[in-house]
Amino acid sequence: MGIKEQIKSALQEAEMYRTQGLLNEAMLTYKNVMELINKSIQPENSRQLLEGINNKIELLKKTISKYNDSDKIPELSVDTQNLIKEKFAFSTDKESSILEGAIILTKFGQFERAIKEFNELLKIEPLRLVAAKNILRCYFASSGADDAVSKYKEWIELGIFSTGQEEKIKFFLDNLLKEKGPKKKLPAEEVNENGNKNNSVEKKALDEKKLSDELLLDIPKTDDNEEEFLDISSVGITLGEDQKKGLEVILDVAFQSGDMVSLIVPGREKALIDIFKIGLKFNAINFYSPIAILNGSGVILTFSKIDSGPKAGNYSLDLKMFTD
Amino acid sequence: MAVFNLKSREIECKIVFYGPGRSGKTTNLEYIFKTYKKQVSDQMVTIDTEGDRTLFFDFLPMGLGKIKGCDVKVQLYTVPGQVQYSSTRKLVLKGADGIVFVADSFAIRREKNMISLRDLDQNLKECGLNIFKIPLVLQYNKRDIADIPGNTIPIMSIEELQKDLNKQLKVPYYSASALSGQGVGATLKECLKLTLVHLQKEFNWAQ
Ligand SMILES: Nc1nc2c(ncn2[C@@H]2O[C@H](COP(=O)(O)OP(=O)(O)OP(=O)(O)O)[C@@H](O)[C@H]2O)c(=O)[nH]1
Ligand SMILES: [Mg+2]
Repeated sequence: MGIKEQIKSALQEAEMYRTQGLLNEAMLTYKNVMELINKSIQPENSRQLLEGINNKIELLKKTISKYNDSDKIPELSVDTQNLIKEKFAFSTDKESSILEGAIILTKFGQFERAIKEFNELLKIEPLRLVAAKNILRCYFASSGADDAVSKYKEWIELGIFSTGQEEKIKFFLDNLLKEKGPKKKLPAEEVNENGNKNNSVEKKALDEKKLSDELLLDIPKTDDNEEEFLDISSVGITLGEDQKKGLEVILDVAFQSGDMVSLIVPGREKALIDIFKIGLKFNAINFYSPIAILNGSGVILTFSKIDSGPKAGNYSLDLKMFTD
Repeated sequence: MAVFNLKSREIECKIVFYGPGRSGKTTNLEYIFKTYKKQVSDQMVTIDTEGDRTLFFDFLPMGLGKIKGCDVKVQLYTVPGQVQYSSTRKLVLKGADGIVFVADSFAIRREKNMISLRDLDQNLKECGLNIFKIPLVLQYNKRDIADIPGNTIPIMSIEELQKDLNKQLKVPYYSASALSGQGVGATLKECLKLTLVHLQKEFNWAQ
């Protein structure tokens, strides 16, 4: 093939990739053509051609960055959202299926509708806590930490949760802020590449990476498989033979991250504190969630005395859960 | 996850079109929707972004009528092929009974095909499924480009694609052009056949 034919066919190739939406491949091919031209044609004869190709590359760059920017997840039509719930939520039990439906919506980035549904679930006592946590999670993932915090403040002012619930929600929010907060620029401080302040509305833009980051809170990754853990509100540990045989000790969950729960052991439970140590396994544990009781086992990951703050004098215990 | 209703003798299964971005998964479903009107039981749902990339999935429900005394329904899905939509891909793959892997014949997409097949293997594992056991058909798409007279765009031969993708799997494969429809029906039929045979072992649905 002569050089002219080579250039011509490479240009056709690039054009084909472009029409197929293979934009990076089109760009690469155009760049290769430019190199080929530079190597083989006198500059005075190639200027126009190179200019034309350059224009094409610029256009491609624009399109690529437009697509990257428009990675916004749109709020879909109600019909489509209903289809998503119908097709991707599998529970048959009524209460858990409402909950599962709302969680599925968050997984597809449909935060507005999910928040609405979780708000409805706030009215159902056993689901209130998990609904509240998910609402905060949705705000976090969509409009940012600020909105999650102001929602929490609004709840406190309204006094709609019991003190115990408030504490758990606060603990949850604190951890969310700790985990995600520093990395996530709050809208007020966000500055784009050119040094301009971004419009905070653009915070809504959410790429898949961010979405999956947020939702990994829901779906903790384990080594070999991905399992969904329900929100556990308390843990009933049955002590073994050599301990206080057959006694079930109920401990409240302060925070949960996937298959790990943090428990508070009251300082007055001297007998328990003597037994508990890192690495200790329990073979009979009931995990109480608002919608089900799971049987399983667990192992103590950390166990330490709380030295300061309102919980000083109590002990904090991290337990890794294994459900049957 | 197939649903078999013993009483009404109805079986419903899920087939997922998988493959790298831009390989032609949505185009497959569009062709099926246009062509098999009688079997299509409702509208095709497409959720795409600017530039036609699938954002969540495409969905097409079909009714195949009575097969061996059983009413067979099938739901076709496509996943979003672009790498960054990995978590959505997993959600859509969950519960699949059969898979069509749509590979791109462009030589420039060779690696993307292989990466996507590995991604399928990984995601199936996470669903507790095995790529060697699940009903699977490969489709080598965009063959029409090789047939354009005087084409100079590098296209992989079927042998090359087989070596890259099907050496270990040894599953049925079809060359196709989703755009013209050539090979689309054959791919789907083979995948349905494998899926129904597989489900027969599980449910014993056929009389
Ligand atoms: N020439 C030709 N073009 C095809 C064929 N199949 C698909 N295309 C084109 O390839 C491009 C991508 O097709 P889609 O069906 O949107 O690809 P997809 O696999 O759904 O892509 P994602 O949704 O991003 O994963 C479109 O421009 C199609 O027209 C084919 O058989 N021949
Ligand atoms: Mg698509």
